[in-house]
Amino acid sequence: MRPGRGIVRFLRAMVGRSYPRIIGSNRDKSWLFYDTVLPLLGTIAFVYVYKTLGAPERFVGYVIMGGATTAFWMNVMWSMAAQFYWEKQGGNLELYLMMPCGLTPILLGMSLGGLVATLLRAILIVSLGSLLFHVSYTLRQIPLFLLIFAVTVVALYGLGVVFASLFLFWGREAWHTVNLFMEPVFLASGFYFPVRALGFWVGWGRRSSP
Amino acid sequence: MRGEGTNPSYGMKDLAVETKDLVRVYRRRGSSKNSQDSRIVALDGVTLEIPYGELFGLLGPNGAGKTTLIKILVTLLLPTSGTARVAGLDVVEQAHQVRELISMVSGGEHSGYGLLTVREQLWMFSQFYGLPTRLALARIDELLRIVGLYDERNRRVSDLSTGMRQKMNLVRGLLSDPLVFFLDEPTVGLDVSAARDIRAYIREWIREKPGRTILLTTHYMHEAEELCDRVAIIHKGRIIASDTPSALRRNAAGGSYFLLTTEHLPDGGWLKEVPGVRRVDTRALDGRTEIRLQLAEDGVIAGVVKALADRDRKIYSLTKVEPSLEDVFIQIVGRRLEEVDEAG
Repeated sequence: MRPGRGIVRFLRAMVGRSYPRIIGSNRDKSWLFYDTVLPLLGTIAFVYVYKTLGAPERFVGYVIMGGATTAFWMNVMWSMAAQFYWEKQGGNLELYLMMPCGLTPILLGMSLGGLVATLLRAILIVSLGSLLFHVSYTLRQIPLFLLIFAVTVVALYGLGVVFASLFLFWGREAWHTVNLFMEPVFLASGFYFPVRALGFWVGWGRRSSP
Repeated sequence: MRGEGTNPSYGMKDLAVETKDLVRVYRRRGSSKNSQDSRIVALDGVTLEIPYGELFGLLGPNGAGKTTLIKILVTLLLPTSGTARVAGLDVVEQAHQVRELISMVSGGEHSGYGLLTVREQLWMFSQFYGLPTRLALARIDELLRIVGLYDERNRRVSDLSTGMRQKMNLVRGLLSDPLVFFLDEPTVGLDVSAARDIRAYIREWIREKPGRTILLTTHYMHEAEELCDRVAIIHKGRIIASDTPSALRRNAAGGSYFLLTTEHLPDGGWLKEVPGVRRVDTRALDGRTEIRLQLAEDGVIAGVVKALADRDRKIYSLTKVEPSLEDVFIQIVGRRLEEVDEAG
């Protein structure tokens, strides 16, 4: 048996790097509380905010979906960007940089592991939220849904790589930069309350940004 | 195939590591580019030639440039000027090919993930080299047995002691069976027993793998003396001496060396006033004082013994000793390595 090269090594390296992320979720169950119950509590709070504002019933479903996608957002902003920083601090990044497989499969493995773990969290948030508030979803265009989901995830991970680079350049300073970005994004996404409540122009401005 | 076209056994180049006039300058963050104060010269024209099969030691105090040199050789850092080749390959132009042939383990390394078991962690790293799982696990088990860590293979990395962790790191470095193995202060921070084990494995590996090369950096004199075929002393980014440990001792140390044990002597500095005494190092030893003397020649010891007798100091033992690498370092740099470390 000989060591693989090319695509074989690329795939092996990717699977190898995704392994700690996937097995880690299974081994340390504390994430079930921190990454599922806590975001769910936040989501529940905002469901009640929307209900108090007299939003239509379908908005409950939107909030739950928003809560689930927040899991991806958090994963990209924190887990991926900060992970890169911690990899550097722990000495892994140096080793990764000198691996013959190159950095790309290692980064993809890192993302793959994060995606699997986050997907699981998002599914749990949607399932529990829907169960609690008796929300049902009708998926009419599954291929379109999957396409939008895939495009969103790719876009988010692209953003994650940008932030990962910022973390590498600026270290802890980037931590604060990310903090600075978090709240405006939550606010503009309508996660806290419908943005239109801030007036027509704010709502229009929000809708015109991606 | 490992080292094809580069190992002497394949009839090509005969140097595992070769650097020529290697310079690396760092700039301090936030300082202006033109300011002289902003420049830190970590390597100042390093020229080295290490043939295949050699265990080569780079000895020097903290900040001497050892790690910078290793980082350039393992393709993590670009040189400011000069050239560096590993297995005949340029570390800048052919970095990717170099990475296929090398491996590095650093002292105090905390790589990997605490949640994984030892075996899982090593498997993960094996995948970056593209090893098939069956081959990887067989190699991992074999190496774990050699370093005495096989019984801990299913233990979480976070639960390992520092010594165990470094043994695991050593296995990680050997997984790819590197042609040139870089060890950056591999025993730093380890207890005596763990450090001895690590040194034993290093020696064993190079003995069993003729043609493989190790470049080891250390600031432990005894480690360099015990392990290395050849040693280069690096100070302030320059190679100031390079030879076999015995040749360095013979040629560079100069004079005669004696070890003398006397009753407690709070200050032995006055012994320097004895004609022919070049250096006096004292250390307390169970209520007695051990004095290491560098003399211009053997005959000077008579004057030292007389001076102690004149002050009513009992002499318990007197031995002529071979100069150590530490003596060589002192002779060249003018200070002990620890003193250079402390001075920064």
